[in-house]
Amino acid sequence: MKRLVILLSSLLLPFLVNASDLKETPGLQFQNQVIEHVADVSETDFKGVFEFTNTSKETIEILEVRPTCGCTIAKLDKKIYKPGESGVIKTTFTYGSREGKQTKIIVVSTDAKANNRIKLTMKIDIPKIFKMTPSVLIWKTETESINETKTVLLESLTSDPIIIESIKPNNDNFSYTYEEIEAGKSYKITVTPRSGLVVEGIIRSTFEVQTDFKNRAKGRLKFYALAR
Amino acid sequence: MQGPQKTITQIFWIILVSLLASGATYLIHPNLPAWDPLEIREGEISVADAMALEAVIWIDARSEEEYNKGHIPGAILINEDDWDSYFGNFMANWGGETNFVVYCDNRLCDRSTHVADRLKSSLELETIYELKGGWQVWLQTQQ
Repeated sequence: MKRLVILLSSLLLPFLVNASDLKETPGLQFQNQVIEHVADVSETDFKGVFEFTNTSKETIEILEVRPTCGCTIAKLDKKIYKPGESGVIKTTFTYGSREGKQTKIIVVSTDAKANNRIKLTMKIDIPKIFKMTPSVLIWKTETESINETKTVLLESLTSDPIIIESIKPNNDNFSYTYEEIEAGKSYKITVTPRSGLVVEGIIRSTFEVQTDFKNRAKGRLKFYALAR
Repeated sequence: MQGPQKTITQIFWIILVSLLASGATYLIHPNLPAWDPLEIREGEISVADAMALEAVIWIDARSEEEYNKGHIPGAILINEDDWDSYFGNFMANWGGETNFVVYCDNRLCDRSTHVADRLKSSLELETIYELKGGWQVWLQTQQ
């Protein structure tokens, strides 16, 4: 019997210790610690609101609200919250040139006795508008001919058709032509080093492709050609 | 069963059952930390291994403000606040080096992951790593 008690106690102890972690601990309780959002192609930022309540029996001071990305700003109306008082943390995530699935974390530190470091998460899916493959063309003259042509495939990933309005290289080191592969959907740009080009060191060009996409800045793409 | 032998047997059973229970807890615990400070995941590199790379290019994926406050010596700022501008400047000077180590602030930021992915895709290179623990771990190694 004694052995059985010891065995059961040993078995249950780790679970009991960890069960305390699973209970709702007093402190700032957020309605939602994770916000998910799928961005529209026209969006440039996302504004999130994290609502919370002080569920402890003591006044809590928020010591710090720290985003882990310079692209995210977090604002708080005030720092001290009495028991039962509610508040909000407002966040703004500026997309910049970001694409795809983004996870932005804000760490909230308080002087509460428990649950005093809280992680808030924004999961944002930013649609990719174009696919350019590759975006860097490299001629390795030690292994390949400088007269070889290389191609860039530009594809629209949205349902709207796109048209290439212009392609502008920043110098005449390379020449180019382009053709439509699928109307409004994909283009092939062929690039060739200028005839008689002598490669000493590295020769490079930057090509700027302007499409008719409604957002002019997002519709402007770049690719690079480099021979060495 | 005699006294000392009985005690040893009991201790053995207590330890065995505790280990089994702890193991089970480890497997099912919902709050188990996902980040192991020693584990190097695929695509990551430690500060020591990064320092040993030949002709490495350090890429700082944090904001310009953070970069200006301090960065790894020689690091180039490339982030996604304005990819075309930062990457364009880099391409205007890139000498063809193939070893890259990208970092952001700490283990919670995902900026180095995105920048490393874009560099891999643009330059078609596999030797582009993320610094384990980022800038904060770098600072610790310099103390």
